[in-house]
Amino acid sequence: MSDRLAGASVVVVGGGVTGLSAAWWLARSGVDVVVVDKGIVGWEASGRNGGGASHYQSPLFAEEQRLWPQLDDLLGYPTEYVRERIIIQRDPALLDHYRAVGRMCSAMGYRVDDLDSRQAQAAVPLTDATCLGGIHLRFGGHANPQRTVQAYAWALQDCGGRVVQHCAVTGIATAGGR
Amino acid sequence: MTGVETVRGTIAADAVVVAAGPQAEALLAPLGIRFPLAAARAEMIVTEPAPLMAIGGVDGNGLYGRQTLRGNLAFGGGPHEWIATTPNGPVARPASPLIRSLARRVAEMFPRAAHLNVLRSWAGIVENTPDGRPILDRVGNVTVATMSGVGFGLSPASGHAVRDLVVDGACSFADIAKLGLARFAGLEPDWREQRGWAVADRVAADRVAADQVWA
Repeated sequence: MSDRLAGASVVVVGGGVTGLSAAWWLARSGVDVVVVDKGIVGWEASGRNGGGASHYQSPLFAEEQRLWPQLDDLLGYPTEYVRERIIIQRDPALLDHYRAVGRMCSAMGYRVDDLDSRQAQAAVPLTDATCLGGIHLRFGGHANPQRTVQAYAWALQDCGGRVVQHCAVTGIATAGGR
Repeated sequence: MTGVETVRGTIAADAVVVAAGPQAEALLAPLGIRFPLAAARAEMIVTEPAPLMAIGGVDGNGLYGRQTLRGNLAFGGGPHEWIATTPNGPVARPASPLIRSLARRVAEMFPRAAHLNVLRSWAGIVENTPDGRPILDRVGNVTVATMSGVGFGLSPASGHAVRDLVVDGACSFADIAKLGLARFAGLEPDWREQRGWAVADRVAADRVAADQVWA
């Protein structure tokens, strides 16, 4: 039948940001890959989230920090990535916690500057004196989630990968041929 | 594994990557792979535009988010609203008791933008593992991936790790042993209940979420 779906070397179930990035990496490695999603790629939480790119607690952190500054060039489409991040607090205990986070990041080699209340207000003009201070991450950053998932989807197709939308996966096949 | 079954027929494959969010648990169970997940709404709000700040990535006050290039403040951040997952995925719901809590906290963090109206809110569904850490592992020719609700920023790296698992059988750039399935071998059947993450009753769950917000 005409709409029969062609087989692939790798099928990625799920067109969220993780599946799309995985498929892009596979496609740019020359792997024949297809992404299948029950809806539209990046339509749910993958395209609607805080957009943060500063996950210092993850084993994938160093690779995250290495890749984001070059991601627009690698994908060939804009993600609206902007470097750096500021964390401000109005609760003394939370401020202490994030100061400790800052020291931990600095110890890993990622620069963090402490901000007192005055410095925080200068850096974040929309806050006021209720802000007790914060930390300024000289790494990490944020991007536009919707543009980024679209960029992954376009980029993986530019590399020969395929995207099949509105096609719910109902199970994993354990017998049968291609 | 020989492929995936879809509503449009079977797609044959040499390998499969399951990055299916909350639906992954049910997809993998017939293969004997235990992939424990609890689904929750990740609610966010977006305001009218504010003057652009030089650094738009500002977190705090229990919030995460960013100022968009247009100036809107787009922020989210707990508590989770735990929801049920059906075979077709979580049931989408159009409103949440979390929105006013988010709006209040954005106004607290940015008092000079407190006059801005909330233009809209939206939710995605995030899946959460029992320990909050990602799962990146491979069983035979099935590679499994969830970032436990924190997948966006790490996506350039998680995709690389999945590519390595599929092609080479191991991650080339980081030690991801802690992210494997083996850690769930002794997981209790009632792990959701133990963590207060179960959705036994829709009304009760709404009441709990509301209590957390208004407390």
